[in-house]
Amino acid sequence: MTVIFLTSAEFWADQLVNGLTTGSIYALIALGYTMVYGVLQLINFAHGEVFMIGSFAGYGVLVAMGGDDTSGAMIALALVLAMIAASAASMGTALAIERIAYRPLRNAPRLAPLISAIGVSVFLSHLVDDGFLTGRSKYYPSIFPDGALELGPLTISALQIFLMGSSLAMMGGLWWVIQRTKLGRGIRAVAESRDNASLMGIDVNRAIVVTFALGAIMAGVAGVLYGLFYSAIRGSMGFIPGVKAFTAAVLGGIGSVQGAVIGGYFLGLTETVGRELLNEIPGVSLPNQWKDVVAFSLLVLVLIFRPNGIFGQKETKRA
Amino acid sequence: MAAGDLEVRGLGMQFEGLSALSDVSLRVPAGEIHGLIGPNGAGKTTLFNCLTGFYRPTAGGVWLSSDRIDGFAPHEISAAGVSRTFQNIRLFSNMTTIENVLVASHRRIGGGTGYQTLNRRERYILIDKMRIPVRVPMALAAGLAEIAGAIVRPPAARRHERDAVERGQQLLKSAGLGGRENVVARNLPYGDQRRLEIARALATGPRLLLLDEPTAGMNPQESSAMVALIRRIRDEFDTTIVLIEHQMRVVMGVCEQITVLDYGRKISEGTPAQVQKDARVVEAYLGTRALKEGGHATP
Amino acid sequence: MLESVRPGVPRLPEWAHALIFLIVGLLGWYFLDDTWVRMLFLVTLYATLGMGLNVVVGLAGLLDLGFVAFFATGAYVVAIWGAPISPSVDGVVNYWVLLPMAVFAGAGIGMLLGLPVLPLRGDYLAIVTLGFGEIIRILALNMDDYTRGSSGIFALAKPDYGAETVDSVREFFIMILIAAMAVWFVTARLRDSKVGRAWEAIREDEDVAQGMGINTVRYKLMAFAIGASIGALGGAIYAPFVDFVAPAQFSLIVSINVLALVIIGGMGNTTGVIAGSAMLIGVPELLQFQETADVLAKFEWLRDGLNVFIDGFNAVSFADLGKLPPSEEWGDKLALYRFIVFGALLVMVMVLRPSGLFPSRRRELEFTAEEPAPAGSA
Repeated sequence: MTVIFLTSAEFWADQLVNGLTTGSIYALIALGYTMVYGVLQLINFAHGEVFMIGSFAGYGVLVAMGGDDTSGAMIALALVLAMIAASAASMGTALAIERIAYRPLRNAPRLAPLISAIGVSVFLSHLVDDGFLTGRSKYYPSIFPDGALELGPLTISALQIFLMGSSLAMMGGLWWVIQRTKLGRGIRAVAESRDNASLMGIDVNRAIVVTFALGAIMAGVAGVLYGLFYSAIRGSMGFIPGVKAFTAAVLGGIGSVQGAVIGGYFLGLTETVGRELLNEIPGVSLPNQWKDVVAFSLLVLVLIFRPNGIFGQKETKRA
Repeated sequence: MAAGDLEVRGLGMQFEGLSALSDVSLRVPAGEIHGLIGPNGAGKTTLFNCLTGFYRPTAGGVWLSSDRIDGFAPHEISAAGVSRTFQNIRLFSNMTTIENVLVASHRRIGGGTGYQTLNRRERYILIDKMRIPVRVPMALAAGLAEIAGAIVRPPAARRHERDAVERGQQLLKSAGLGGRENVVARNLPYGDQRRLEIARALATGPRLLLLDEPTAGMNPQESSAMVALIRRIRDEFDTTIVLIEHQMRVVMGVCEQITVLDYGRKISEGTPAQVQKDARVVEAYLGTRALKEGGHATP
Repeated sequence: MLESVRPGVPRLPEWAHALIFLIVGLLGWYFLDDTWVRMLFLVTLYATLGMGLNVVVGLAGLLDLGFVAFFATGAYVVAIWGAPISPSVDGVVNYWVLLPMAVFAGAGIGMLLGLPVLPLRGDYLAIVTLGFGEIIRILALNMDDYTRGSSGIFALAKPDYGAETVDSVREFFIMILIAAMAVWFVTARLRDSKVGRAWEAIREDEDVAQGMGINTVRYKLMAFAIGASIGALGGAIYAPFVDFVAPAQFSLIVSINVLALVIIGGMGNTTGVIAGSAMLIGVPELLQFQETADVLAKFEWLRDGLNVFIDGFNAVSFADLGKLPPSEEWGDKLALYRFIVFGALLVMVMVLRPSGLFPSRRRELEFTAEEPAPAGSA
C-alpha cells in the first residue's frame, strides 16, 4: 500500500485537521439530539432548524457590529456577542417548539410527535428561506484574522483553532452542568426513568425544558462556528448537518453524551480522511457529494445492524 | 383440533448477565390442565415467551407432539399449534370483538386446518449460478396470488370469509361473548376482555393453549366463572392447557398437575396436594424464616 | 366487509365518494380550461401517490419518509427506456410496455427497501426510509451513464391510443383519473380483506399479530410492494406529462408533501387523502391562477387600509415593516409561502386533531383518549 504515501504528509495532516473541525461541529449538534432522545425517546427532527436559527442570530450580530469592517478587539467582542445571541435565539426557538409541538403530544401515539417535529422543521426552514430570504443565501462576514499555527506537517488556521477550542469549551461546560449540578442530576434521573424521577420529587417538565435548552445552546454556538467556517447560510442549511449529527449520535449510542461527542468526531474524520483514503484506490474518484452518501449510508447501516451504536452493546436476542 | 403433548427438556434462557431460566424440564400429556406457579420473577412468563417463539432459548429444546418447535418464528410456532394470552391484556383494542377473532383465524380461512410441521431442510433453485432458496419465488408467487385474491374476491374466497365469521361467532358464544361481536374491544368490561383474549387464542385452533394469569384482577365469583370456562375449553376444544396463576384457590381447583419455578429453576412438580406440602415451595413463597416458624407469614 | 361490520352514524358508502370524485373530475375535464385541468391533474396525481403511501403508513402503520424513491423509480424506468436521448438504451420501448414495467420495478424496489427495515419501529423506521429516499436521489444524480445526472432526460416517448397520442393536458388528466380510480378500487379491496386485517393487526400490536399466526415479514413487504408500485405508477404517468426527468424533482419535499396530505386529510381514508391533496396541492395552484389574481385585484382597498395600519405601527414602534404588495399578487405570494403553511398545518393537526380533517371512523377511535375499562365483568 505504498500508494498512500504518494501524497504528502501535509495533505493528510490537513485532512485530519479538517476532519476534527467538522467533527467538532457535528459533535455539538449531536449532543442536542442525544439528550432530547435520552429524556423523551423522541428524535427531535427540528433540531437542525434550531441550529440554523442560531447561525442567523449570530450573523445578525456580526453584521450589526460592523461586518467585514470589524477590527481589533472588536472582533473578539463581536464573536462573543454573536455566540451569546445565537445561544439565546436557539434556546428560545427550542423552548417554543417543546411547548407548542411536543408537550401536548406526550401521551399521543408514537407517530404524532414525530410528524409534529417534521412540521416544525418544514415550517422554520421555509419561513427563513421563502419568507425572509426569498431563496438567496446570506454570507457570514469574514472577520476572523488570518494566521495559522504550524506544527511539523500540521497546519492549523487560527479559525480552526478557534472552532475546535470553542467546541471543546462548550462540551466541557455541558459536561460540568450534567455531572456536577443539581440540574444535571435531574436530567440524568429523568433520562433513566421518568416515573421514578417524578416519584423522587424531580420536576420532570423542568428537567425536560432544561435539556432542550442545553442542547439548543450547543446547536446555536455550532451555528455560529459553521457560519464562520463555511460562510454561506440559508434556511435549509440545517437539514444535512442535522442528519449527520443525528448519525453521529446514533453511532455513539443514542442517549449517551460521550457517545455523541465520539460519534461526531468519528463521522467528521470518516468524511474527510475516509474519503481521501478511498480516493487513493486507483480509479476511484469520489466527488464531494459522496460525503453525504457516506453519512446517509452509515446512518442506515447503523440503525439496521447496530441500533445501540458502534460503541453500545448488541441487542438482546429475539427469535 | 386435537390436543398435543408438550415436552420441555433442559430449557435455558440467558440474557446478558442474567439467567432467566436454567435447565427447566417438564412434560404435559395431551389434554391435561397444567399449572405453572412460582414467586414473582421466577421466569414463568419468560418460559411462555420461549414456548411461543418470542425468545429464542439459549439452551435446551421444546417438543410439541414429538415435533421440535423451539427456534422458529412466532407465527410458525402458532401454525404448529401453540397459542397464548397475555399477563397484561393485549387485545387489538381498536378492532371489534369479531375482528380480533378473525385476525387469529387468519391461517384457517380458506383451508389450512392441519398443523404445520416445522422443519429446516432448505431446497434451492439455480439462477445464473445464484442459489436462491425455493421458498423465495414460492413466497412471491403466493403473495401475488393472495393480493389478486383479495382484489378480485372470487366466490370461493367470499364463502371462506363467511364461514370464518360464522366460526368466530360460535367461538365468541362459547366464551360467553355471544351477540357482542361489533363492540370495539377496548370498550368491553375487564372480565369480557380477558374472555375475548381467550376466544382469540382459541381461534388459531391450538393444540396447546398457554394462559398467562387469566384470573388476574378478578374477584372470587369471576375467578370461579373463569375456572369453569377453562374446564369447558379443554373439554369442548380438546386442547392441552398450561396456565400461570397466582390465585392458589384457582390453581388447586383446576390444575391436574403443577410445576413450580423459582429463580428460573424448577423446584417442584406434582399434583396440587403434593406441591402444597412441599417444603421447598413454601420456602420459595414465604421465606425460610416463615418456614421455621411453622409456615406462617410474618406480617 | 370491515366497514359494514362497524357500528356508528351511517355515512355515505365509499363507492359513492368515488363516484362523486369521478363525476367532478369528468365535469372539470369537460368544462374547464387547460390551466384548471392541469391543476386537477396534479391534485389527482398526488392523491394517487397519497393512496399508495396510505397503504404503508395508514394501513400497515409503517412511517415511510422516503416515498419519493418509488415515484422516482417509475419516472426513471419510463425515461430510461422510453426516451431516444437516454444514454444507456438504444431505441425506444412502447409506453404501454413501460407502464407495467415501471409498476413491477416499483414493487421490486419497495420490497428491496422494505427488507432491511423490517425489524425497525417508529422513529428509526422513519429516519432510515428518509435516508433511502435521499440515497436514491443522490444515486440518480451521480449515475450519469444511465440518468444523465442533473441534466436529466427529456423528450420522452408518449403513450399512443389508437391513432392518437396522449400529449395534451386533458388527455393526461383522463389517464391519471383512470389510474386513480383503479388504485382506489385496489386499495379499498385490499383494506377490506384478510390482507387488510393482517395489516391492521400489525399496526395495532405487531408482536401479538405474530403470536396469532400472522407472518409479519410477508405482510409488511406486501405493504411496501403495493405502496411502492402505486408510487411508481404515479411516476410513470408524471414523467411523460412534464416531459423531463431529473433528480431535482425527487427531493425529500415530495415525500413530505405526500405524507402531509395523507396525515392532514385523514390517514387510512381515501376520501381524506383526496381532500388533503385538494387542500395542499390544489389550493396553492389555484392561488397562482389569473382568475384568482383578477378576483384579488378587487381587494385593493383592503391593501390600502392595511398599509395605513402598517405606517401607523412603524411610526409608533420605530420598526420598519415593508408595505404590502398589490392585492392581485397576494395569490402568488401565498403560493410561495405554502410550505410555511404546510409545516404549521402539520403541527396544528397533530396537536388539535390528530386523526386528520376527514378521518375514517377507525381513526377517530384510535386517537380519542383511552377510556378506562369499567371494573367487574358483565
